[in-house]
This record gives sequence, structure tokens and C-alpha cells, in this order.
Amino acid sequence: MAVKNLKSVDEAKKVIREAGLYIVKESDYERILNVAADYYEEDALVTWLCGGKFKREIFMNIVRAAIYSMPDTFIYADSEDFNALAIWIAPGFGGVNIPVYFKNGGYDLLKKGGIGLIFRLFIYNMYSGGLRKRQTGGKDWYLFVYTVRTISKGLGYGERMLKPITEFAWKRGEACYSEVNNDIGIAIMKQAGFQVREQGKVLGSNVNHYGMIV
Amino acid sequence: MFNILLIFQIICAAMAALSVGRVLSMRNSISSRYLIMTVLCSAIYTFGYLQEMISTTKEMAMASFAFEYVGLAFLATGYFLFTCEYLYIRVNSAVKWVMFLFGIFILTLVMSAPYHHLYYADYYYTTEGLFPHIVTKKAPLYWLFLLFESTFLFVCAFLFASRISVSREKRVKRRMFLLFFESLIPIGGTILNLTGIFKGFEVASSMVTIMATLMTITITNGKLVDVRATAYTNLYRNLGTGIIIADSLGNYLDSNLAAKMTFPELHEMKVGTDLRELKAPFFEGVGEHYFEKDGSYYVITCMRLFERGSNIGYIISANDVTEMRERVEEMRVLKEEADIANEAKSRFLANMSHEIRTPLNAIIGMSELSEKEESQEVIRDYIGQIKSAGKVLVDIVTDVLDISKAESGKLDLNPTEYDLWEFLNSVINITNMRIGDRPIEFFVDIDPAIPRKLYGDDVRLRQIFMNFLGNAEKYTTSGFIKLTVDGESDGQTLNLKVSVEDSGRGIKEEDMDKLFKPFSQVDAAKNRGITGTGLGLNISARLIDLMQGSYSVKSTYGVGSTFSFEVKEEVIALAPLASGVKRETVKVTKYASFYLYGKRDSLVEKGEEEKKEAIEKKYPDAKVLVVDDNKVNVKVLCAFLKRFDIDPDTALSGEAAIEAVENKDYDLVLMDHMMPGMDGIEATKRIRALGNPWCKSMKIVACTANVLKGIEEEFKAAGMDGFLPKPIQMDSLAKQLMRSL
Repeated sequence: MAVKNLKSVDEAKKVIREAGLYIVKESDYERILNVAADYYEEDALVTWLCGGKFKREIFMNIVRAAIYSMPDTFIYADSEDFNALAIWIAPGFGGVNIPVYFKNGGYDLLKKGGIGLIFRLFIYNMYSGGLRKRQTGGKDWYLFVYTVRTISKGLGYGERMLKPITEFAWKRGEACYSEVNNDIGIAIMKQAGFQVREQGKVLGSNVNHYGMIV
Repeated sequence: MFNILLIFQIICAAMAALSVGRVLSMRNSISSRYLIMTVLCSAIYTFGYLQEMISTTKEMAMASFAFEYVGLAFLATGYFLFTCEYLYIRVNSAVKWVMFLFGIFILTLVMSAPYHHLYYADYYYTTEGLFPHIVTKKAPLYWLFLLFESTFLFVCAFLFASRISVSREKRVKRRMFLLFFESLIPIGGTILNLTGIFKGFEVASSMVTIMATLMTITITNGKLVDVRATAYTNLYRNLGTGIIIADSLGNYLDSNLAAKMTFPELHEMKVGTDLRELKAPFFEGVGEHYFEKDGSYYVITCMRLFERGSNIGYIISANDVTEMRERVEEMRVLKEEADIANEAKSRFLANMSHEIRTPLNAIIGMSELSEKEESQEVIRDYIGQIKSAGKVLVDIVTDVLDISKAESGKLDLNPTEYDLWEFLNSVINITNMRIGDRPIEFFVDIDPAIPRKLYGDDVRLRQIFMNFLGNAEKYTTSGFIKLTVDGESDGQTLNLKVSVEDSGRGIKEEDMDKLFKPFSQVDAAKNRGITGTGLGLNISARLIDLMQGSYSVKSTYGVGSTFSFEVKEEVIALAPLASGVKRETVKVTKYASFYLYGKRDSLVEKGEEEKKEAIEKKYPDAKVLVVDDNKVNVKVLCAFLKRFDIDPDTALSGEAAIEAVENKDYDLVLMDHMMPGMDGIEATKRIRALGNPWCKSMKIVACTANVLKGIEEEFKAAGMDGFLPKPIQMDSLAKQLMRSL
């Protein structure tokens, strides 16, 4: 199973390379986290998760723990300038490597975030897991993080960055899944062929949440 | 008594059965599955109790207990889940499973009751009471189940009650109230059971049935059917966008009306047919795909449906974008046209400023030179050049005015009688003069049989002739120019066919349709040396249209062009241009006056004499007033008048003019139109209204640069006797003076 997944990730990476995009090396992950944190400062969902005010450390720990602990994650950018950045998780979901998760930020989240953060993360995961399961049954290419530098918005990055993978997944007969929480996000995703399938609000938050699939 | 109870129970059972039928006949909706479950459970319970009533032994009664509990064990679960779905409350699937498992657990306990004492501690058959029945002693698990059931019923009642206050609509409020009340009925039944009032008869089952029946009535009357589900279905059917539903293999399942209109084959298509037969880009992958069919354009989008990670089908949408596409195309064309027009106008402006600057330079330069020059002869030469530069300026302004008139639809014809022979001679002579000593041979080939006296706008016709000939002369550096004139006459109208052939540079195929557009000179880079505003052909084309004619152009790039046009003129007299001569092509001699088919009497010559007479006439006694706010204009006019021995008075405003007229009896007032304060029209009206007797009879002539149509009528209405267009020409002034004095 693991071998098969690795293979699909490798194929996806090949597709990305062919599309002229830049695959981020593991040594660059810290830089990626910083860049993503810059772009996510206005994000309503992350703000809610952080308890009403964006906290850089929390966001970085959430993403860091995920990308290190899940073997099927792959990260790429439009170029080495990181104008646009995408993190995907391949289908099959090899599972979370718990020790790695805690080592790379999971423990910090527990320690510094407090019970409120854990509770919100739990609610969010329940909610988003439900959405995802209803739409694709969980076996999908999951777009975990996608972000564009503010000044580069509207330049068609959505299509350039995401369409290679959505097309690749389509050919394999697999679904792509993502969640957005604003209209601009929807417009960007639509460029890559994503369509809104479900919408709602995370329990206890005021964040509009849309489940989109290709 | 037993019989009455039995009948009552049978009625209840029948009611339960009817409710089941009613619920099953309802249209499918999200909450109906749990309603069906509730009603079915209540029916099973009621039938089970009916069985229990008529059982005669302990074993039979136990068997009917088991049957009853098939319904009873899941009744509360079903009712609770129905309530939740009906009120749009989401229930975790884990909770559902726990409730179902508990029901199964209770059912198992009841079925295995003879082998243990967990549910019933003991039971025996008795003939006491109203009828022989089984009596049970309850064990703790029985009470637990009772608590479970009552709790959920109470929760349901509470949920309905909570909605009573929330609902804004009265109808909904009432329904919620009824449901709240109905939820409490079974609890009442259970309480009655426990009190044992009916001595052996258990009311609970009939109460449950009554609840289920009432609930069915309440809900079906109030349209249980989820509005959203109905809306979705209607939306799908009536949506303007075509929707086709396919299974995971791309086989046809269903389609809406719009899709069937786009693909009529769908009307006949059987479920399961491969949709690829339609040869449309349905399964091409991510994004939008364009598709053309019968002249319409569609954007086809394919959506995949997933369940548990595998593709279970497709939704294909076909959106008709024909109109949008047409609009976009229109916009594109319009934008292109606007860009071209804009560019042409900019170029025209640049051209124009060059065109205007050249004669202005001449005027200013020559004036400066004249100031320093002593010799009268040289000064006269300079002034001659200034005059011709001024005439060029007037021509340019006339062109621009013409085009602006044409663009605003104000270009019109002013037909008069004219002599075609005279007309052609002057046109040919001017062209010959313009050719000068360039190595160009100028041929004319004119049908002598064309009637000579015609009725039409000769001024405009001359403009067209001069434009066509002028272009030929401008763009030809060497070779020949040939003017051919043919005429077809039916005695009343003449179809004048004119063509101008040259051996100039010719016009490229792609520039042909630019020729007659305003502000465009073809091949702007190459023709930079050639002067002109680029308006001539456009004005000519519009004039020809006005004369109900047609024009055409043939050209070979680098070899030469032929411009031809046709106009209709009215014939006054049938006398031909020349009689008794054969048609021939004549070469026009350079620097010599040309006379078509020999010199003959001219109609215009008489006019020339008149003109001469007018110019030479003197008016030493005339009392003339010149009114103009511009001192230079006054000076020019006075200088002109001096030629006629007139020493005019002047007034610099309308008010001053009125004052002057009040005190002196003038023969003629030359009144400027545009003046600050009181304009010429207003001043004339006031003069005419004055008490002095001469004010009514004196001649007032308007001088104006405003030569737009309708202005003459306005002048007349104000009481003016004529008008002189500015810049004032000697000839027209002389004519006017002769008429007025």
C-alpha cells in the first residue's frame, strides 16, 4: 500500500516538474512555513483556530506537524520566489506518524495553544472530515494549503499551479478535494476546475466553509 | 366489554395500516424514511397487541409479545430521528447506531424472556379482569427501556415546543404545537398502563397508533415533503442550462429539458446508452470545453460524483453561450473600429496641424517680409502669396466643415441650373494648371452628345470632380491622367458617368476599404510627402450618395488606379455639348486654356460681365454702417468698401448700432452675427422695432462665419435682407452692394 502511494506521489511530482513548477525540497520547508504564514495572515479560518487573532507560531506548527508526519505530502511552488505555494496530500492517506507529529510542532500546539485550541482543532477536524468523507469518501488528492502572494493575485496562478494535478487526478479517476472560506478562494479554485459541493459553518465559528472537488 | 375493546383495538390496527399506506404514498423526501419507520413500528405494535388480546395461552401471549417488540423496540428511535430530521437537526451517526443497537438488545431480551428474568421477573396467565390476559412482573431492564422511551418522547416534545416560539409563520406554529401535543400522547398511554385502570387492557398500543395517525395527518397536511427537495427537482427540470446525468461508465441516465433541446437525440435515448455516441466533449477532463452545434456554441462542463473514493457518475452541464459569444465578438469589432477611428483622428489632427501650419507660416512669414519691404512690386507679390495661402486655409476649413456636416447629417445639396460645358472646361483647366510642368499627359474623352444645360448642385459636383482629379494629380508623378465622361439621358434625367484613370502608385488590396473612410490616408508612412487632410474622398463619397449615385475604384498596386462615379442630374434642355462632332480623346495642351470641342458661347460669360460690372461700380453717396465687435474685421470691410468709394460709419456692438441707426438714415447696414452681449439677430429685431420710419425700410445684411443650414431662414425671420458669408470675398460683396444700393 505504502509503495503504491509513493508511486502516485512520484508520478504527481513528475507532472509538476513537466508543468515547469518548482518542487520544494525538505531543506526549504522552514522557509515555506514562513512564506505561507505571511500569506495566511488574513485567513478567517486560521484566525478562528488561533482564537480570534492570527498567531504565526500556531499556524506554522499546525502545518509543520502535518507536512512532516504525513509521508504522502508534496509541496511545490511556482518558482524559487514562492509567489504561489501548494501543499497536497496524495490519496490513500498513509496515516499520521504520531511521534513525528508531536516532535514537529504537535507538542508545542498542545503545550502553548491550550485547551481552547485543541478543542477548536478537534471540532474543525470533525467537521471538515465529515465534509470530505461525504464528498469523496476520503480517498482523494487533498489540497491542504494553497496560497498566493497578495500582489500576485489575479495573474492566473490558480490555473497554472493546480490544474496539472487536477488533470492528473482526473485521468487516474481520482478526486481532488479542497476547502476554502472566501469568495476569492472559490474563484481561484474554479480556475483549476474545482466546484463547490458543500457549504456550511464550522460549529462555533462564523467562518463560511466550502468543500470543493474536481 | 371484551368485544368492545377488541373492536376498538381492531379500529386502531386499521388506522395504523392506513397511516402506513398514507406515509408510503407520500413523495420521497429526506425525513420520510424515519416517519415511515415510526408509523410502521406503531402498526406492528398495535397488530401485536391485537394478537395478544385474542391469545388463549401463556405461550401464545409470549409469542405476540415478541411480535409487539419488533415495533416497540424501535418506535422511540424512529420517532426521535424523524423529529431531528424534520427540524433540520443533525444527529451524529454514532448516536443513531447506539439507539438501534439498544433496540435490538431489548428485542433480543423480550424474545428470550422464557429463559431468563432480566426483562420480566415473572409472568403468569390469569382469567381475572375484563378478559383472560397475561400478567408480567417487571424487571429493572424493563424500567430502563421505559425510561429510554419516555425520555426520547419527552425530548421530541421539547424540540417541537422549542420551535413554537421560534417559528414566525402562524401555520408552522400551529403544526409545531400539534406535534408537541401528539408527542405527549404515548406518555399518557404508558401512565394509564402502569395505573392498571383498565384491568388487563393495555392502552399504550392504541395511544401510539393514535399518535402515529394524528402525526401522519398533521404532517401530510402540512406538506412534510421537504421544500428543498422539491425545489431541487424543479430546478433541475427547468434550469436553462442543459444537465445530463451519466453513470461512472459514461452511460446515459437522465437529462433535463434544456439538455434535450440541445441534444434532441436524448428524447429517444434509452437509459444505459453510451453518451459518447453524441460526439460531444462530455468526458474530456477538468474545466470547460467548447462545443459547436447547429451554429450555437456551448460550454460543456463535467462534474464527477464520488462516494467512498470511487467515481459513481457524472453531471454534465451544457451552457449555451452563443449570445454571449456574439456580444463579445461585436464588442471586439466595435473596439477595433473605435481604435482605428481614434488612430485615424489622431493622425488627422497631426496631419491637420501640419496642413494648417504650412499656409499660416506662409502668411506670417510673408507679412513680416512685407513690413520690411519697400518695393511695392515685391510687396504685391508677397500679398499674392498670402492670399493664396489664405485660400488654402479656407479650403481646409471648408473640408472640415463639410465632414462635420456630413457626420451630423447636415450635408445637403443646393441645386441650380448650370452649363456642363462650362463646368467641364473649368475643371479641366484647373487640373491642367495643377499638373503644371510635370511629365504627365492629361487626356479627356467626353461624349459630345451629353445635354449641356443641367439642373443640379454644380458646386458639390465640382468638389467631387476636383477631388477625383486632384487625387489622380497628387499621386501620379509621371505617366498620364485620363478623364472620361459618358452620359445616358432619357430626356429628363441624365446619368453622368465619370471615370478618372491614372498611372500613379495604385492602392493595395487591403487598403481599398479604407479609401472612403474619413481621416485616413492610405499607406501613411509612404505618402508622408503628399499633402491633404484625407477627407476629400470621404466627402465625395457622401456627396455621391446624396446625389443618389455610386462610386467604385479599381486599382493595381504600382500600376495605377481608376476611380469612377455615377450621378443623376436633371436635364433642362436637350441641346448637346457639341453637335456635329465625332467623339474623340483629346490631349490637353500644357499651359493653354482648354475648350471642349472648340470655343463657343458661354452661359457664364454673361455672368462674368455682370461680375465685372458689379466690381467696377462706385457708390459715392451711399450711407453704410458696418457693425462688428472685431476691429480687424471692421478694418478689412472698410477697406473693401473703400474700393467702391464708400466711406462707412462703424459700430462695435449691437447697442452702438441701434444708437447709430436711431440718429441717421442708412442705406445699408452690414451686421455681424456673433457679437458679445447683443448679437446681430437681436440688434436687427430691435432696429426694425424702432419708431423712426427709415428703420423699417433700410437694408440690413448679415455677415457671418456661421454658414450652417437654417441660419439664412433665421436671418430672414429677424428682418434681414441678405447675408454675406465670412471670410468676405470681393465678388460677393460687390453683388450684394449692387443688389442693396
